[in-house]
Amino acid sequence: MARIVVVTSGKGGVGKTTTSASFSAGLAMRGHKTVVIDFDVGLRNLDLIMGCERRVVYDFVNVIQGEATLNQALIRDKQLENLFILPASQTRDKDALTKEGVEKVLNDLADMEFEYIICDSPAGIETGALMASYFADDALVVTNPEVSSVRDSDRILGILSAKSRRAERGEDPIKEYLLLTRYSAKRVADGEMLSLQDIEDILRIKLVGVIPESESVLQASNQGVPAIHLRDTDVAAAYQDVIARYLGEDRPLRFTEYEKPGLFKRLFGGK
Amino acid sequence: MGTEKVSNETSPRKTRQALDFKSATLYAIRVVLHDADTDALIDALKKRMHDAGAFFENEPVVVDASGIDEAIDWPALLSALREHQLHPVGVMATGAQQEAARSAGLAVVDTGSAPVRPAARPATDDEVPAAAIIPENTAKPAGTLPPPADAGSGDSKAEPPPDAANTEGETAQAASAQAAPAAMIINRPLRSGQRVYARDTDLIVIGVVSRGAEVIADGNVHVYGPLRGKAMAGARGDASARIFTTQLDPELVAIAGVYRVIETRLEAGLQNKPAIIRLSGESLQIESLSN
Repeated sequence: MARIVVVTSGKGGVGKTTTSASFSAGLAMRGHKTVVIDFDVGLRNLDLIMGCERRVVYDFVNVIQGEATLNQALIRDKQLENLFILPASQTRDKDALTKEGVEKVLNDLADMEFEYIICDSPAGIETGALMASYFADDALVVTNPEVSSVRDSDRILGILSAKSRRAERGEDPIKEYLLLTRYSAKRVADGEMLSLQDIEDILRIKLVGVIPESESVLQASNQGVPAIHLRDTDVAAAYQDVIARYLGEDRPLRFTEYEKPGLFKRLFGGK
Repeated sequence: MGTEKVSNETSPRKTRQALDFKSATLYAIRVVLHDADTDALIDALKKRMHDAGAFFENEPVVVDASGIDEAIDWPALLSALREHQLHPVGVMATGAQQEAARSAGLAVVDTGSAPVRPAARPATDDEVPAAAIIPENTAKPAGTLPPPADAGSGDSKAEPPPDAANTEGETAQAASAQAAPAAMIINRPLRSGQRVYARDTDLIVIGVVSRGAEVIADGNVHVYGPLRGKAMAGARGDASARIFTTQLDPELVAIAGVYRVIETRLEAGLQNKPAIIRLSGESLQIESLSN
């Protein structure tokens, strides 16, 4: 049975697509057959971040409307043979997403023996976001350590607990995981950003990881490669930790403590 | 011959009613009889009232004769009670005893066992009273608030006969106060944008009430966890309702339409501490619960 994971946040620009790309790549690296679906109809980004924008022929909406089969629409990742992408439509709008249509696609993907189906949610709480979350078993709630992001994440958590299929059927609720992104330990130490503990106190859900603010993310999207592939970067390491924790392994938190650089580093090293 | 010219007085469109029937909840003393002998009863009454001083004076009284089978001299007993400034309003009795008491002019009441309270049901969005947010000092718009629902206050259980205040000799009136539903209990965190309304009863939340969440009740609001959102008690006008929390950090609190926005941090003894909020006159009092 495929596990459906929604990557959502409420707030825009916090790192959902970046996370969807790296999270699905990380699972595929571990040998799990994984598909990542872009639910942002009309403003698609996932294909760019995954580096497959020139190979998009058919998309999610085409499949829902029966204009193409899943096999025709799915794009196989060039680097990982276990990883597939289902891009969003750029020309249609979100009304093309129907519950029945989405459900059928998810069921068909499960039949194709995918172990993980990652749903990259758009920002907001409208149709696209609601569709992406509705069928989820797990949710990665991506949050920046910043007040509006935290409030929007809180809102999205409320929606997940009330408006999902699991909620409507009275089944076990969606498992919620907090993923802090763009975390700057220095700014937290300076009191400019909310700390990990503050955010956990407000949101009260299980922390699955902290991704530090890093220039590597921009480099990765420019190259069309999920950040997790950039070895030796802190972001890649952090995402690997996230995968490990999600799969049940124990990893200590990294990148959350700020160490003031010594005199020499400050004189010669820069920031 | 002809029609008399009837003066066309303008009578007011809406004739005000001379009287109205509403519900009331009464607290009464129950005088339990253990003996039928008139003299013994009168003596015991005298002694009891002497010991109690003015404590029971002027209280409405229900005479509980349910344990007595022998005939009681009701007129004598009632007159003795009245002499002591106790006002008999009802009797608890069965069979012949009941008949005798009725003839003496008492209403039969049943204080019985506490009614089983129906479970609270979640109210829909449009049922949430608009009266929940009324700016301080604005007259409450006439007609939007239903008659004060005292029956909702939860403490009254077995004792008070709901209709005792009404006409003597009549038995329970048709519209006897309905048992208030059991308190609504929410056992999960309430997140930004979520709103819960406990109609006709108290609301108990076990968990956090986040910023942007709203907890509303016609009765009291209890939050066992951080209260960071909006809390509104006595939503339909019950000024005796209160808000209780183990960790006070709200955006807004309101009782019976009187509200206060908490813009700045409260004083150290109150901020994030256990507290009670109640309405005193027209102003909200915030008091610490910890010693």
